[in-house]
Amino acid sequence: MRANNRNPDSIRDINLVLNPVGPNSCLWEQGDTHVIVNLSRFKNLIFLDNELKSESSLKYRYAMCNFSVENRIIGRPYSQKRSIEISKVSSHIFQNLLFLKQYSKEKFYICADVLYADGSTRAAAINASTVCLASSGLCMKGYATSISFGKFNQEILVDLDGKEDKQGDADCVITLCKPHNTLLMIQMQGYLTKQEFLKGLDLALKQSEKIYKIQKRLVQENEI
Amino acid sequence: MKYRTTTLESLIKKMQTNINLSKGIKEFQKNNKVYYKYSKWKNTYQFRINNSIVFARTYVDLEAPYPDSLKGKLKLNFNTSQILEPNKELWVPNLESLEIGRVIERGLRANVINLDKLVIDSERVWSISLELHCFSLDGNIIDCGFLAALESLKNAKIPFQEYQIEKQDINWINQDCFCKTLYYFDTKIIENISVYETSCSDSGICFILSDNKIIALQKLKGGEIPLPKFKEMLDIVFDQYTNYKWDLILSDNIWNNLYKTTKIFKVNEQVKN
Repeated sequence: MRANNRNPDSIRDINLVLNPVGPNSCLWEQGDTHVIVNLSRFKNLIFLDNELKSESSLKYRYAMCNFSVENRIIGRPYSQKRSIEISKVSSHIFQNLLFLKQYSKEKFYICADVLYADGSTRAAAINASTVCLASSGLCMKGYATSISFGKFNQEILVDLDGKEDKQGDADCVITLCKPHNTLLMIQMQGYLTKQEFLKGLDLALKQSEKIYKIQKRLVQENEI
Repeated sequence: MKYRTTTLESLIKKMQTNINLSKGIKEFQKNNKVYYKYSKWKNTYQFRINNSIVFARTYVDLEAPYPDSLKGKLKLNFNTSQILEPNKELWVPNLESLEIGRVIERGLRANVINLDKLVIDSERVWSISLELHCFSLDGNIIDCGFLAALESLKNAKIPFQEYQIEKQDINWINQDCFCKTLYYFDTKIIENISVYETSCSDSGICFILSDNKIIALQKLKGGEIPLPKFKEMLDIVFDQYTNYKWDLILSDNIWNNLYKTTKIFKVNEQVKN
């Protein structure tokens, strides 16, 4: 049995707070993983080179705060290789998801800070960022819903916590574009057979529906 | 490589009509020619797939372990030459090369290098530094980099004598591994992609397999891939892994046959010794 008596295919409790530190911000609490995301939007800008503008009009920064884990984060967290890579991969997701051509005179900065890390931090950051973008009324192709799965004690689990992430055999994060169910991002490390991987993918697909409903409900409540 | 949108649009139109953008070097779905050699520059290994060239060098040194895990250390750096991106500012770190380096490192760490076997005692572990440098870019850069890294690691010598440590036969490398990057463009799955096709494609996935298992996965670029297509990609990669593998390329016999017959081998052998 997992921590908090969770089943292998169940996700942790999700708690969401919209606009905790000002407009277009979101606090996502998934178990003990706490992520705060802030969207900055700059309007009425003039770009000299319109053709190359779309590449830089949305930037994403992921960073783990120094106090989020017990050791090994020294100095500036966003200058670490891991943070830079996750920022790059996540920015691709949102550059694809947003209709950036409609916002030709605007620039978007998304800053995701992990306040407390207990596994699946990048998934939580992506989910929270989607809520930020959707609640600010931007035109999007769909919602980016991210979830992790992996293998721990010879069992395929969904939504890994810190212990399962570190001591497990494999750790995989997928991001899907809902409701189309297309793949936006996938990252994996560890070792899984093909059957195990496909089983994990199926479990993650089912559970991602729950996250999608939570995201959508919050955005709709905010609109009202 | 980045293009202006007008150039990109014309390239995409050509790709939609199945025109090969590599100017006759290869066709879609055809296998690449893989070359590699031991170069004379400071024990580097040069790997080449079509016109993508990566140099690799491994240093092994003695270091103290990390406080939270008693394992060997692996440090990997992937750099691209400034020649490949003349428009970019000097000294600005290249995010793409950082991502490629992280993908290769993840694959090596998962099941290729056994870091547990690199421990001498509780205070000393072997630290492996792998330097990869790309001089020419023609697609398949992750595959090329991974192969160069593997070849360099395979031939790395652990300096037992320098540190006066008793010599042991450490079997720390698993050679049964396979790296393949597939790209997705306009409902088609493309393999062995060139640099032009890379910039036009919607997205790609890099698969690293070992011992009939997936050890690392990374999606490249931001485009969407439908899940049935992703599963199709997975099937293609597993088929290729079971049918071809890299064994043929990396086996010692082929290594000897390639170089024993030529004069270059003698020169290289001297440097190697």
